[in-house]
Amino acid sequence: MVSRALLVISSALPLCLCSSIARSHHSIGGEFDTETVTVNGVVTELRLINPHAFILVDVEADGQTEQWMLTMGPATKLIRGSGWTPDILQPGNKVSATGRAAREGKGMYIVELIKEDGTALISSLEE
Amino acid sequence: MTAATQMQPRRCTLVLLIGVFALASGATAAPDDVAAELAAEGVWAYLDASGEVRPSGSFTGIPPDSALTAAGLEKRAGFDFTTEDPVLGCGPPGMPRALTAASPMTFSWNQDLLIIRYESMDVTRIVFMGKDAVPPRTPSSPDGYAIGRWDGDTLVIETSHLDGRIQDLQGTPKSDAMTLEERYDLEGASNEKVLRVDLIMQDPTYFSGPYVWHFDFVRKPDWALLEYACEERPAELTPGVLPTN
Repeated sequence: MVSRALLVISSALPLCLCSSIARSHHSIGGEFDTETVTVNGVVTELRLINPHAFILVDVEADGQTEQWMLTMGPATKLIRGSGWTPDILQPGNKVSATGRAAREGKGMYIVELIKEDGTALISSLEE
Repeated sequence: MTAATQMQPRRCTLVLLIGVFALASGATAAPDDVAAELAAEGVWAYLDASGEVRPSGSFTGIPPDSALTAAGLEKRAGFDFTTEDPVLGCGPPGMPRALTAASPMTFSWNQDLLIIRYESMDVTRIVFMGKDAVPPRTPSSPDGYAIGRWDGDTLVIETSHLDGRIQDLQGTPKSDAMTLEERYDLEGASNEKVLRVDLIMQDPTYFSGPYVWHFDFVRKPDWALLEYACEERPAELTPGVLPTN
């Protein structure tokens, strides 16, 4: 098992941002801790669905590949509010994701998502 | 000259004064105009407290502990979202949750029916306009039985016969005795109308008194409701079954 200490723990995010995620529109907020975590990984799948879209990424840690599930808000918000389309991320794209760590398993609720070229797909300034 | 003709100038003056007063106070819109404006092209989008239009609704808070009875507090404390939240299984959120999610919404009229559609969770709600009472043997349901009427230019919707599903993400309970009163008012200049919604909840079982919510919506004429098509996450990806090593 890879220690979470190997991951970059972000303490720079303002507390109010963390609490805003906790105020997600339904109970999925209970799946996630207040601790934030950052992973760098390779996209294997994007599911642009409601009520929560998600991305599966492969993360290399200690020579092993781990699958992480990166949860987001509703697809309707991403599509209308941020102009997302189903092909905004392709398998093989590298991303850096910061979010609230899942209480169980390898996952997070994304508060910031950045592509390899520096494009911010989800900004930490957004709720 | 008859008495009637002698009165004519006074009546004209009175009508003119009423007209001037109405124009000055801005109270000129008839319910038909308001009804048409509610159903105008586009959708009504939530305007949050900071003045930002939210693209897909927003969390709008939960009733504080002080609003609940001891039974309500006990019920909420025992809530387990993993098994008791119907929305996680793509079930109906029910009222008032369909409204308090502040989802983009539309209004349409079909004779004596008002149809309200909420984008989040694809909720379609029917309001029976002008009915005197709920029909006998009406069963409880997620959205209850809604009766609408006009109070001047204010659209008023009263809802009862709600089932007992939770009403928010924290498991705030509601009983089948809960009643809702919604009041919809259009305010502001014609091209920047704000739809102000007051929601008054009463539940003798779980609430210590009337609880009032307030929401603002603005019309986005270039938006359309999106299909929500709620989809549960694959079972192998639900919390607790993700790989842990």
